[in-house]
Amino acid sequence: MERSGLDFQPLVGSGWLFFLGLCACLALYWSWRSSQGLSPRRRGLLLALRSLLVFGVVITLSGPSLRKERVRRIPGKAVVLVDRSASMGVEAREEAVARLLQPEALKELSSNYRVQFQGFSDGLEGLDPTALGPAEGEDTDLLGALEAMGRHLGDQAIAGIALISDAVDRRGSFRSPEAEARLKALGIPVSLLVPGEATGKDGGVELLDPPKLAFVRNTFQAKFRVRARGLKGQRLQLTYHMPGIEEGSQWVEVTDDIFEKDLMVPLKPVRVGRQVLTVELSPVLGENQIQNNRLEVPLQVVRDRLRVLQVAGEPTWDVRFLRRLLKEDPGIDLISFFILRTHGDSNEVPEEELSLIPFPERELFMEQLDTFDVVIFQDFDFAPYSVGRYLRHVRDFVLENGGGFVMVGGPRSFTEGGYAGTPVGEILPVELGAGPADQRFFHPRVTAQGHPILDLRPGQSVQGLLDSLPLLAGHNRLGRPKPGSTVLLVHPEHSESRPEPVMVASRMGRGRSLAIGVDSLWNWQLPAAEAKAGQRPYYRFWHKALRWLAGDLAYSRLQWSGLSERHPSGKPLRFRMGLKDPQWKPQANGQIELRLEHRHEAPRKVQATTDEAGWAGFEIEDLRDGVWSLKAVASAEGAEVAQLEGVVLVGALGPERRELGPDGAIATRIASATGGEVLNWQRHDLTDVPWKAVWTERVEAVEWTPLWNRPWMILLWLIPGLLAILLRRRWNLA
Amino acid sequence: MDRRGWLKLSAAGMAGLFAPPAWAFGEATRFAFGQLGAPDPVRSGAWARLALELGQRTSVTCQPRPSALSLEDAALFRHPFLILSGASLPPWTEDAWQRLHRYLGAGGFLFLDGRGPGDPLVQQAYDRLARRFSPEAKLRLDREHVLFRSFYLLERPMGRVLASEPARALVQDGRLAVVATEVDLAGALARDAFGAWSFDLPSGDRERAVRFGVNLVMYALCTDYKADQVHIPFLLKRRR
Repeated sequence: MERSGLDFQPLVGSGWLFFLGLCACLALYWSWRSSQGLSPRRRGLLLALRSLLVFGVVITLSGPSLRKERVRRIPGKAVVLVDRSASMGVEAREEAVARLLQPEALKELSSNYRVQFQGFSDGLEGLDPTALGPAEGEDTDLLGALEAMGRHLGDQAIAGIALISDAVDRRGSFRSPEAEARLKALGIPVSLLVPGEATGKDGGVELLDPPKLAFVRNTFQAKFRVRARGLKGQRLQLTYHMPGIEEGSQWVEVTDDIFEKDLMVPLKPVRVGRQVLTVELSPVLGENQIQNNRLEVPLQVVRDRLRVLQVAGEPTWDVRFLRRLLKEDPGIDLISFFILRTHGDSNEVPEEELSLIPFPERELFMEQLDTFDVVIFQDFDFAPYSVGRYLRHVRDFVLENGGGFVMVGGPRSFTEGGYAGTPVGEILPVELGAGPADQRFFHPRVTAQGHPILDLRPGQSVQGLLDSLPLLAGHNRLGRPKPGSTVLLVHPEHSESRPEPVMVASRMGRGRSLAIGVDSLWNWQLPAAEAKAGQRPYYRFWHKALRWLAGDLAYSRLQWSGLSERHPSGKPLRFRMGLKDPQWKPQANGQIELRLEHRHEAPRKVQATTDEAGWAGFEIEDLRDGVWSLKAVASAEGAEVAQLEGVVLVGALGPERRELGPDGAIATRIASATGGEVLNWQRHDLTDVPWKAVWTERVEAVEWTPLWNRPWMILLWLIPGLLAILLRRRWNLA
Repeated sequence: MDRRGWLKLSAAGMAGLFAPPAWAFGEATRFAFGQLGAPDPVRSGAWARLALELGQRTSVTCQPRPSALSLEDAALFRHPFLILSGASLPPWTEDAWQRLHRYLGAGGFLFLDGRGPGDPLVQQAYDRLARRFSPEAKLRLDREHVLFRSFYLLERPMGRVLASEPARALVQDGRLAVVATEVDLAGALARDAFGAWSFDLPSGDRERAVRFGVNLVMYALCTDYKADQVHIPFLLKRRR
């Protein structure tokens, strides 16, 4: 297409043109004044001729030209925006999208419009319609993608946007009343091509606002959202369970074809550590997808407060200072029970005048025992109080339930307390029966400087600290440490041939055990305050010891490194494990046996040996999707030294895959706010989208033909000038 | 557990039941009174008497005699229970008072035993110490305080004389660090060289004084143990 028009290309600069115009005006004024003797009619005619002369000169100097343009019309842009979030990764949807973007299907559209393809999930991304990969985006931001596209297009001529999506928006932008205004502000019609599955059957469940942490023995409210489509009139059963608690369930009546209901479920974890909450919605025959009926949520269950049971055979100063310490610690929930009167004491006073209560041995050691994290036997002899029958519960509490047990010395502890050959003797980290107590005062010698319990003065010598504290008053003679235990403190006369351990720690089954062969640790508090005001070695020791006993992961000799709670499907699981020796230094040549269990597979075992830095690497392939329980057992020099448990969720459906849609309500809102339409992609394709007929023009060539040098152009101003001269002479003007 | 195990356990239990605990750790770890100031000859045996009563009535094992201490003694901080009584306040230096305050802050307990209402030693010592504590630390002990149910159920402090005012205390970290009474507890417990009571008391008052002494020691050893939730239902029933 061609078009032409007049253009000006001045022969002189604009300054000159202005100057010449000014001179011409002055000349006209002068000639007007010099023609005063003529009649007004003649004066007017003369002025008109002279004005034509000036106008003609000015026009000529302005350089008039004829411009000719060759122009091309370009069709408007049709934008095809394709949802690449994981919810579009379902096989049927991937096939539908591939069909919509086939070259043959796009031929007609491309002939009428310039077509731009763009992908999006949580933001815009590139898209090649001839090489579509799997849709894997972990989020969908519909409104954000449309607005980003609008900004990208700027003021180009846009025929419209075709949005190929399930219209499920995970950002919640469409809950805001401003969504309509934001869509209208785009100024571009958006039409949606959505799956035609809205009438299909599907049920699903998801956990809203999943807690990152849960507290053991504390109830938290889990909020589940049950969604159902095409299941009106059905009763669906939601079941849920966690390790250690009974399975629970609730029934849900589906009252609509497009149904959604939130359920609050109280859950009370009973075990500490990483575990999986499993939720299942009963499947219905003919569901589009049953994977989203099952939900597995990894949960880290921690303690909010340590529950400690302190049982003492006599209220001594050691008992009193430990009680005060435990009571003052806001992170500890303490239950104390002290024997204030023995069978041998006078009992002449009536019970009503005493504040004594019966020893609730059954409640403490049978009914409530598992609610504690740590049990302390402090100078306590079990025999007079009918506790013997419950000692096996204490052993099981440690070995099977992962509890912590500490026996603190005194005339009723260890051998003197009659524990040899009892179930409690089994869980002590030392042998019993080593002889009578030693009454001499002493400063203990440190043998495991790096052990976390002895982290009494970070970065400084623990031995130096203990030597500066008051002497300890005597000790129970503990026997040989059991294999795998760590001797923390010994008597100064300790030797290989004549072991005199004073403090020994060991992991026992799933729990931990600590033996303290003295009843004068309180000397590290009040007597120590005489010289070292402000130091709190006593507090620091017990704080560390209790957390170690409670199985705090930071205090384990075996540690995970690089093990995440979720792992993608089909990829090898790689992580490392670190092992410390009894002195809490890296353990070289330690054997770590890892047992992996899955509910649908036979258990697997993998072994690795630690290097000089105490690390062992693991790479596990072909892990089936689902929950894998990991249990690592470390051993060194033939003895088991540590255990660690964990869980990994392999190939879990992400939130995108749990909510497949399509969401008709959002699709309709987008289309109506922007002037587009909602089309079922099973019956329509991109050519059915109501594209606007818009285009832009592009000038491909321009040609200028000068007019100022044409003879008629010169005559145009020359003739009036000559006529003015002629008339001037005829009318006898000077 | 098999039959042999049960027999072993029963034997161990019986042994523990009938055999008193061997004091394998010696005197050092037993409860002991530390007595500050000049001992009053008339009342000098009172604390040994209380130690004896404690041994007979409770599971607490005591050293038979109190240790005479001064505030400068190195052994002060190894005696968490101190008694201060006498005719007048010892001439302690400011450093000595500071040391006593540090002792109380680190877990020590001080009993001020006045010989009667308005006892100057108790008044002066309490006031001097109170200045070093926060104003909120001062407390009047009513009958509901756990001190009066730490072993026996009592209504008020008991001694040779009746108290005209409730016992006073200074609180540190939620526990009583100082208890001041003017009931002459030592006077109620003291005997002369022939074993006779040093002071005559109405019937039952001496027993109540012993009980108050026992409660004091039990409180020092157990602090607010009897305020724990596990005890409350029993104690409420008995208080009714």
